[in-house]
Amino acid sequence: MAQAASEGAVAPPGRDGSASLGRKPFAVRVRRALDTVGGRTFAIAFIIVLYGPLVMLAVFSFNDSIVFSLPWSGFTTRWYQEALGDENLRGAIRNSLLVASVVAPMSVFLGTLAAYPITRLRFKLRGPAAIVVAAPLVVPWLVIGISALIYFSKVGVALSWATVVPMHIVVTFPLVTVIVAASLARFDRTQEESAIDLGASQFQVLRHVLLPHVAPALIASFILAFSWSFNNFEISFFVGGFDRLFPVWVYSTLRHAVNLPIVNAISTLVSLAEIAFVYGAWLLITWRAGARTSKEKTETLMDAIR
Amino acid sequence: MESTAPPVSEGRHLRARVVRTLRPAAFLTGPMAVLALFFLAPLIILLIMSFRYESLYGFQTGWTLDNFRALFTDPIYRGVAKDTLIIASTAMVCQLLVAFPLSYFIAFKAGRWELPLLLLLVLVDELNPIVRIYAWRMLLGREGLINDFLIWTGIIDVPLDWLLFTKFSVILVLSTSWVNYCALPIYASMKAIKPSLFEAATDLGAGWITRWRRILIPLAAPGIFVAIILVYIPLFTDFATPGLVGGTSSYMLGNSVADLMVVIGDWGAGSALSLLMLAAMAVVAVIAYFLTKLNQLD
Amino acid sequence: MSEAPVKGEIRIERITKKFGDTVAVDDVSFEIPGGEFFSMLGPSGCGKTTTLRMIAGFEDPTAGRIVLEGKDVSFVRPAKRNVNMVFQAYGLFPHMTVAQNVAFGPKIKKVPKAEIAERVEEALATVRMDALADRRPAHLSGGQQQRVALARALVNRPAALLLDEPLGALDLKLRKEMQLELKRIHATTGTTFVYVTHDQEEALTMSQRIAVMKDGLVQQVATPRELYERPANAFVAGFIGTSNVLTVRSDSVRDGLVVMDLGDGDRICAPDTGAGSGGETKIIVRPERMRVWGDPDGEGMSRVHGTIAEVVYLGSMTQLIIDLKTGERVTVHELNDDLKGALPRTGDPVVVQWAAESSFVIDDTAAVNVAADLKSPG
Repeated sequence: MAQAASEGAVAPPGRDGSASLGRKPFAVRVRRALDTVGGRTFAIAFIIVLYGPLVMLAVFSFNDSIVFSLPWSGFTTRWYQEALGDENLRGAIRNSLLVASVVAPMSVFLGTLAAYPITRLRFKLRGPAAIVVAAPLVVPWLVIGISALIYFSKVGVALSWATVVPMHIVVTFPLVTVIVAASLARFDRTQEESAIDLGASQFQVLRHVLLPHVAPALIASFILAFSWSFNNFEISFFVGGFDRLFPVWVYSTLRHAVNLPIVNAISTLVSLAEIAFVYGAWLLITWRAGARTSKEKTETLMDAIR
Repeated sequence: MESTAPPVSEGRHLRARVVRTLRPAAFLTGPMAVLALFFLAPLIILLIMSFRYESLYGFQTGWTLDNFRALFTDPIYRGVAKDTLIIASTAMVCQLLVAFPLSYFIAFKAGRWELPLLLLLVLVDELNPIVRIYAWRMLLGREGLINDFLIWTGIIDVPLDWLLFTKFSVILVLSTSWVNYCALPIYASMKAIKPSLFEAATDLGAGWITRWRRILIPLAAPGIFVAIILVYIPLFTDFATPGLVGGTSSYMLGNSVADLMVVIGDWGAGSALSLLMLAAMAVVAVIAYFLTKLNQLD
Repeated sequence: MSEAPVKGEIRIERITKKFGDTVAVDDVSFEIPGGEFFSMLGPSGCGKTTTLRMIAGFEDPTAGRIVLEGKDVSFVRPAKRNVNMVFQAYGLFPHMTVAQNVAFGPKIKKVPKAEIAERVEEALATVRMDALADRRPAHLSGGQQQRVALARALVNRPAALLLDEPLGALDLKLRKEMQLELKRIHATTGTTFVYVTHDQEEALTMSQRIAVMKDGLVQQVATPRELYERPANAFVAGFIGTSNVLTVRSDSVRDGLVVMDLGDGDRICAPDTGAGSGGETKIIVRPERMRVWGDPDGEGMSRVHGTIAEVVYLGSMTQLIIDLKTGERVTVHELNDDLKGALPRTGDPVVVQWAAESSFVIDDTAAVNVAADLKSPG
């Protein structure tokens, strides 16, 4: 009688096939416990492996020692001061920020321009157009970078802003297209027709009905374009000249010296900034649209990737 | 009282048709121009280059197949290609092995934690990959934290050499790169499975292994293949990771290309190799793409 | 010729709509006087929604024209027509509150602010949603969203309101409530309502006149009562309510009735269409006109023996499914008030009777309804 009342016996027919009453409740309970506990530990372990190194990086950026070893030498912020004092480093960060701030808006602009006809207009070359726009996402950045390097030298353009910005735009705007297209595709035609029925002109429909719907996608793709540009290594390496952009700076510095604690420091700063940036954008998006759709936002992202 | 269609409709039809062809063109000119100028044109030049003697320090000019010939005959390249294949594929498998259960957990078991976990996954992409690779280098070194920890707990006496600058380190770090691109498509395809399918299967007596085998995996398969397309290509062509944490034994094709272009200056060979890699990746992408459609064939 | 425009009058003149080679609406014409509650009823694909969308302006007619209040609006853009539509999926703007949604139309038309507020309040009061003016659509139930959509259309004081199966997504009880609500709002505002549905009961409940459509053609336009009691053809008869179809062989003709003899005193009498003896006609009899346990009598009564196949007890009435000895199966509705004794059971033998005037002759192709010539039943 205790068995019949025990948890396992009256478990709903769910993940553990306990449709039969009373049989092996203990085994079922163990399995279910393993399920959740196992699952949770797995997820936690995953998070640790993914973010752990960065956390360690942050921690050791305050360590008063050149070596990355356990004997903790003492708390210091001198690496941060050194990092911020380094001319090259400051220049690299400034450049990366400037490039990203130009690339991101242009990407969003171009990406939306491409997304609109692909999702909302019907024309014969729609399929091929979509493929061409999506192509830069599939072609390895290595190949794009190299081809750009050769191209610019043949065309006679020196490696500089003029080469980096367009190349960044080329690899980021397809992503914007994908994200915005996903949002446009999900747009409720009935809303649009209602607005027209109520007397709105095409422009008014765009402004009052379509734009609010698409706004989260626009913001999200801006964020992504910005970080892709800032973090971009492969392309910048080939078309950006040496040491001029932040990721390339890190790479070059590391290739030639072993452990530079100032790399720790600046990396931590940059990572924190990026996290704050994304989190802020996240808050912005969810505030605009209401809590329910924050789930939708991530779903949009995933639809986009599909 | 007339009751036939007024002639106005003819003019309207024509006007509508003109507008219909102009509008997409107006939107797409900008993006297409950018793509043509900075994406397609360079690729075409790449194609051309691979057939020419183009070297910053060489002397010959003209068309040739030597670039390709050298790549295929030189045992060094074959070795590197083999290594790249091994490293990338192993990393891919590792990522799938981790991403699949993880996606399952997030999709079905996470409850409240679903959204935060997803956020964390997406967030990783925002962080600088070079920084992450560097962080791993710190951990794996002979004086790095992992060795420190192992010595401190007494598991070993002497620091492990093989943690860094080996194939192992490259595979390890690659396994943690782009994991979100691996997990998210799988998660998405799992989310699309109606939970009632599992309930029905359980009701018919299926244990969890059967459920996974017959329902979960077939329905999540498209997601898996999408993940492969998205992840394998960056893995295969990556050169930052081997550059920072790889040693001489874990040189990858990406490094070869980078060297050819920047260090050696043999642009012809560099182009040829890039082209070959591109072709190989295209094949992978196409195969995987068709595999995603497999489910829909029934 | 100019006539004084009648408020809310809609004239559909020979409207045809083709999508490629498919004809969705085939030379349809009818008139809706101002202020009427008019429905288009038919199965999916009959062209009713297409016609409605042409009235609204979302589709252009391939031929014919649409006249609204005396003006030809066939190709006028939907934004410029003085009609408003209530969509099946509501189409409420999720990022605006209820009040803002309703205010959208007037705002676009640049109505002064004070007047907007007044009109919004009025509209919301009409649909009884004034208490929830500051909510977002996401926090409303289906029925509430429905009413907001209605208010949003009504606030513009359109000449006509077009409703595209608006109650489809609601559960039964709510649907019935809303049907009566719509009827009330129609009476209050006096606006022409053009309603599209596939649910004949719904159409019968609310409409003053109904156009029954099938395959792009109008089968009949009439009041609910006319449609039920004098359907123009077999389709209408079958679509509106239940009907029993019987084949009558005219063995003899007597007193304007053809009679089919079935032996044992059984016979079927039907109105004579002049076909003479030896011919065959089909008739339709409504289930409530057939009697099983009432008291029949009289000449000119049809009378057939049969066996009960099913008994369905429905509270106020019982539905009996009976296999006649002619081999045909009929449905009979009897009021339980008239029942003396126990309910019959499956397998019981019964006698089914009905008056000849209760039947009407049906011909699929032509609109023959001879019963109209006899005194109308009931």
